[in-house]
Amino acid sequence: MEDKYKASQIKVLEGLEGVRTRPAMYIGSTGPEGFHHLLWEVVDNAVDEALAGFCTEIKVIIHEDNSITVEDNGRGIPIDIHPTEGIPALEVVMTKLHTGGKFDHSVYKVSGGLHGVGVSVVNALSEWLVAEVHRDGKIYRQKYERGATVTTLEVVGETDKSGTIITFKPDPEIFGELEFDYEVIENRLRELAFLNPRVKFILIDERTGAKQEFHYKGGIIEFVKYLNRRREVINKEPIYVSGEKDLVQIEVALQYHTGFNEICYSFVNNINTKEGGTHVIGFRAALTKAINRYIATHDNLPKALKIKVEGDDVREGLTTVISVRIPDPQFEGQTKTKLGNSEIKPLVESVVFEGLSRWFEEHPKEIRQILAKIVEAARAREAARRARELVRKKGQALDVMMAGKLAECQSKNPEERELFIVEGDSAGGSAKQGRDRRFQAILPLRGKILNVEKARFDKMISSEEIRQLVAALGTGIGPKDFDPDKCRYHKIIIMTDADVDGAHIRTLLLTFFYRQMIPLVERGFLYIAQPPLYRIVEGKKETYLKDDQDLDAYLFERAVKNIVIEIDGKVFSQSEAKKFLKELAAFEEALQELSRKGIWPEAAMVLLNAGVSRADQFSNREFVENLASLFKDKGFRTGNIRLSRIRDDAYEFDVSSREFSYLFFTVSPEIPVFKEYRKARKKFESLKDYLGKPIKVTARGEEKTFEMLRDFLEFIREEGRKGIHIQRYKGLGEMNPEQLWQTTMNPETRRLLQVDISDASMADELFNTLMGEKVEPRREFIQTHALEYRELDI
Amino acid sequence: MKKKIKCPQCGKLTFWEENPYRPFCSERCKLIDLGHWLSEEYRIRVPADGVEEVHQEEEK
Repeated sequence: MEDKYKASQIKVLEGLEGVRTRPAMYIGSTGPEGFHHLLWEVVDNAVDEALAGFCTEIKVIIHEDNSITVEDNGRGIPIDIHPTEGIPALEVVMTKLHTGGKFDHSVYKVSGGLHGVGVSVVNALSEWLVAEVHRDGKIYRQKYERGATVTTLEVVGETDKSGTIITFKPDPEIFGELEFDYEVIENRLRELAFLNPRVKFILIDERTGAKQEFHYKGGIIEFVKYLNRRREVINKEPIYVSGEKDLVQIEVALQYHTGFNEICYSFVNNINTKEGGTHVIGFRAALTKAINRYIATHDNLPKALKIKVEGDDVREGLTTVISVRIPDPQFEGQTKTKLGNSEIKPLVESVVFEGLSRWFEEHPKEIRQILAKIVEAARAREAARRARELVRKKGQALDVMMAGKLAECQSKNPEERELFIVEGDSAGGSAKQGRDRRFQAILPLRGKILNVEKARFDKMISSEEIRQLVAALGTGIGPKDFDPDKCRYHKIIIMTDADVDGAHIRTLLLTFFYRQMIPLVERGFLYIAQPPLYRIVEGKKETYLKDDQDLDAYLFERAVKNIVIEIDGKVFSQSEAKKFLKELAAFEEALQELSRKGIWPEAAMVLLNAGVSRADQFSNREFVENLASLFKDKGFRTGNIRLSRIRDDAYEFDVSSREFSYLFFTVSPEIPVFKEYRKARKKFESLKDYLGKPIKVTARGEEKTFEMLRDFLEFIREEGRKGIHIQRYKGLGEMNPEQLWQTTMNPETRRLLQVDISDASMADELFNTLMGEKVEPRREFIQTHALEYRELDI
Repeated sequence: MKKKIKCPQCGKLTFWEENPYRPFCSERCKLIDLGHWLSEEYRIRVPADGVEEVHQEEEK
């Protein structure tokens, strides 16, 4: 390559006519974009000089009068006489259309410039332009007005520097009142600085005094970091790949972030290819291929990561900068910002594939983090596909009806329509017979149980059942498609058995509504039926009781008629006795609830008797020590006193049972905060005068004394049971259709529990606990009990 | 003050109010959750003695 940049290398193609009459043909528009296009043309010429290796600094100065200067320290445009034109080369460049060194690859291997329209177009569209060349020790200057030469090329001084300084003022006749926009120029110069790490760009605005320097030695790696500067990134250092093949230079930097959108900046010879093109296609193909190859060839990857991913997955949350430099770019597309050269795709693809594969091998930790992100994207895509399919295939209520599942009601008015989601086929049958078909619809749902391992079963709602539910509701499903306004029922009533199975189904359903259909909960559409737990037959009288509490009240009511209670010399009247028994039962219940938190009754009594009531008591070491010795006195094992893990400056210790090693809990400042503990304490306070004292009972002339609460209550309940028959319903199926209607479905007599957000989110919490993969023995203990609790409570 | 909640999918803190994806932090997390339901990944473990009748994967 001949590195003398001389007049003989400037080729002349055409004259300058027509630029002023049809400016848009040359610069796209006479709006702000075209206006700034003038500047880019000049800046790009300077950058080309830098690309050729002769320029290290480019300065842009915006002047008060809306003129602008671009100054470089390159070789300076040649000033010798052009062999065919007979005028200085500078003048040729400035006044003849389509001229420049860039058409001859021997001068610039690659070149930016905007499709070669040349600086002469800038000159033609400027009110005036001054070109100054520092070259060979002299300063040359020539002035032009609207493209025409107004002075000859003059020597105006001497210099020891080299470079070109172009100052021009866009012609107001063409552009009106348009002004240079600092921000637009700032962004473009920053971009150029990233793309050309060896060049320092300086921007000065004399109108405001603003000045900025852009010089990024890290190049496009820094560019990617800059683009991700406000994002949470996954691979801390961007991946960088570069290579050269067949005179094409390829550079790519990429970094994943935790967001979802893809940011891709691609450049060809410094031109922002906003519409992409063959270089971008090549990069994408390489990335997808490299990731899939890595997954396929690494057996030690976790199973969850071993799936086939697609292009959309690998590009989610990816920020990329692609920069290629090629000798003959062909631009296509509406704005001519799409690279069309088909030979570029395989070149980019092979360089990037090799580079990425190498990087993956060298960064096993980072690639796993990236894979986790990609796999998540793939899962979401898969989920969306399933959701679409679910709605598409037979997604109508009619189909569910036809399948014999949904028993629809007659009313067409959603406000009065009710949908009962009934657990189990047999209960579904009773509900179908017992309902008022005018406005009550029935959808049976039984869940699905799988034998996963020996003695391990999993319960779930099948996808088919979810499909039926969604179809029956008519709301659609998924973040985009769910529409609560389309709900066909304004009362959705979950009706399940009062057993563990029922609690499971209910928890699953509530969780599903909470997570995927929360607006229905917010609108108050979701209810839980309250089937009775007990049926009492006393002679010919039938009574239904909702739960154990109601049963207690019923039994106490009967019992106090026949007994007299005396404590510490105080004899209770019937109404006092009833009240006392109610409080006592509530206390017992509170202790039971507390035991589901892992604090069993005997241990709870120690805490209550010691007056544990506030978290800050645990900041007092002496108090905590005393507490520990109280536990020891009562025969518990205690651990060392240590600093609390949940509250600064507080102490805690572990307590365990001597009999059952799985019973243990931490006596910590957390306990007085538990609502179960507070409830127990409240009841404890109201009963304080009687607790721990012997209770004397006279029944039918017989006198008995009780030391233990439990025994006393059991005796009273036994009294209450005399002469009646109690039936405990294990499931809805035990009720005949008439009973089911009477107790649970008839709007006149039933009680429904309206689900609010806190109920639903509690179900979600419980669901999470039940879903836990590793269940420790203690948690299992609590869970088993928690279920019993839920079974009566929701 | 806006009520803060934990996204059931990714665990990130997010808001309840004015959040179309509540209780999730994003469309993405809500979608992934739906995917779990539809592929029957949400299961509650039940003790063997509580199981009266086992429906094997009969629908498949």
